[in-house]
Amino acid sequence: MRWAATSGLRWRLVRVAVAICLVVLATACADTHPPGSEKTRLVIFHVNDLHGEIGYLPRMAALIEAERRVNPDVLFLSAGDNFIGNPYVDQSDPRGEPMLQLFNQMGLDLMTLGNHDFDYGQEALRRFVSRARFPVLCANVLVLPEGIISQPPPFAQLRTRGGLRIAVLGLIQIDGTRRLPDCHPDHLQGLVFYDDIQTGCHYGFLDGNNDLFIALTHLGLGRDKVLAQAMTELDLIVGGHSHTAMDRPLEVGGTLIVQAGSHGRYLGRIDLEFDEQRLVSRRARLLDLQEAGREDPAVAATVARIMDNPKLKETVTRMEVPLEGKVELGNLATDAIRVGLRLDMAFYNAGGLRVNRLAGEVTLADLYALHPFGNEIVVFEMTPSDIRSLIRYDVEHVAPLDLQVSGLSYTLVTAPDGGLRDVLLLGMNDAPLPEGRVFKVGMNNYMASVYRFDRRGPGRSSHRRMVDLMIDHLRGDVNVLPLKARRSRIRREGV
Amino acid sequence: MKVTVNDVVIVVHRGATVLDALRRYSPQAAERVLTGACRVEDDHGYLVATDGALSEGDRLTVEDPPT
Repeated sequence: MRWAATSGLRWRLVRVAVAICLVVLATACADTHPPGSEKTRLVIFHVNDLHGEIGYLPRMAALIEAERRVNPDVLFLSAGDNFIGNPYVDQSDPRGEPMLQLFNQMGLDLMTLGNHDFDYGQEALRRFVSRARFPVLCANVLVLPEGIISQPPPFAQLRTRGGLRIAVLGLIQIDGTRRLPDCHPDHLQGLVFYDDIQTGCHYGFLDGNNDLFIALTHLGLGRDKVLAQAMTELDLIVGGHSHTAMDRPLEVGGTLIVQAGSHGRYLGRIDLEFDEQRLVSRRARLLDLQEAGREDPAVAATVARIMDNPKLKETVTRMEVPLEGKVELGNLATDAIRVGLRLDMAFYNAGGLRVNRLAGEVTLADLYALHPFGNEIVVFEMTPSDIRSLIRYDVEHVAPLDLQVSGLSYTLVTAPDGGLRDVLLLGMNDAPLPEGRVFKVGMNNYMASVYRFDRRGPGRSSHRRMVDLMIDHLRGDVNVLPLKARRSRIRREGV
Repeated sequence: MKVTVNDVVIVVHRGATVLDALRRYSPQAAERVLTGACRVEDDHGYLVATDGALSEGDRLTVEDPPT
């Protein structure tokens, strides 16, 4: 088994990491509450899956600061996926910089890696981690020499002013079949990921040295429950990934599981009380930031500065010849998918295109308007017969010629009464597609979910968004003239 | 990947979100969730966002659209 074969190496790494991990977040000032003298309070604030949404952060900062003023023992944790979803964050220079500025300003104590934290590529993540004033944890990744990021610490140990010893272990979600997080594999080169639960169990020893043992995870609630069953040593799992708004904690065994929804709408708050360093009470809830009134003025000023990002007005390309209508823009979109993901073919429903003309200076803002839904592209393996079933569904349930394509052209052969008799498929060389061959076909996740068609297997998300593929495509050399040609037509047959 | 929506088994692509599963179950139900007319919950009754990640075996509940 892969795990067993590399466990020796892993444990050497773990020992090195343990040394690194004497991460002293410890606010090592004079003890205000000598252990044993009275009950000690600890408040943990947590967020997850912000996805670049920064609008609520000034309110979040105000709540955290208010607690810090009255309580020296406050922790602020992020359970990952801070990036992807807000163009002002995604298109900043460097990418993701606003999250770094804001987390540093708000005094984030610890973060664990989420799958989308790799979406800008490893170089961007390396830069983020190197400038973060907080450790970024991940126990179940091994960085090989060809990897770009530094080996993340698997855990951190903290000591509060009240003398409490806390261990925080970081774990990231792994797809069971690929053994990779849900992220485009190009961004994960040189990284080896290990099973989340098995890895977590190797760190059970942290329980013996600490008063509180927390797993800061990006696994999703379902997997957090499995972790709680496997690691009964854990006092608390602060999770993310499934975007679950846990307005009350879930207790599994003796472990409390919490998660704070997504996109910054909620701030999680956990109140813990210790008597002689023994955890005696715990309470967890969500604070709805829509209802929180006060903002931290300094954080609000940073957010305002970030939202005034001139980058979105930046020209991506200049189109001397305009592209107009669903056919031309559909050709552009499907070419972006096919080329960007190195697929055989791509499809896009015309209804998914929200702008009818691209001309002159095309800005990032124009492209976000063209693809406002953050649709990801899903890849299927399909034979020509499967492809015909997709086109047939579209003709019968949406409209003839609604489907825009790249990597092939198609002709709908119709009877005099308008009924569909056949779908003829031609490859890029204008030859019929070989019937037995299996092609890699991309389409947006709306089509992947709603359309009914035959395919070889359930398909897989590429973890690339349409808007990002389009931006990359237009930054390359795009010849507009071939995009003017229609790639689908109708041939009406006589009786 | 198999999940259930209102106890109906739904096969979705790997890496699918809550919204993908809802659309596969019923595009109308998905639309109602997107417009805020109803909410989608997991098997513990927690509110989940439409862009939340799914795992094998997840169980979702959504109010069925009026017939």
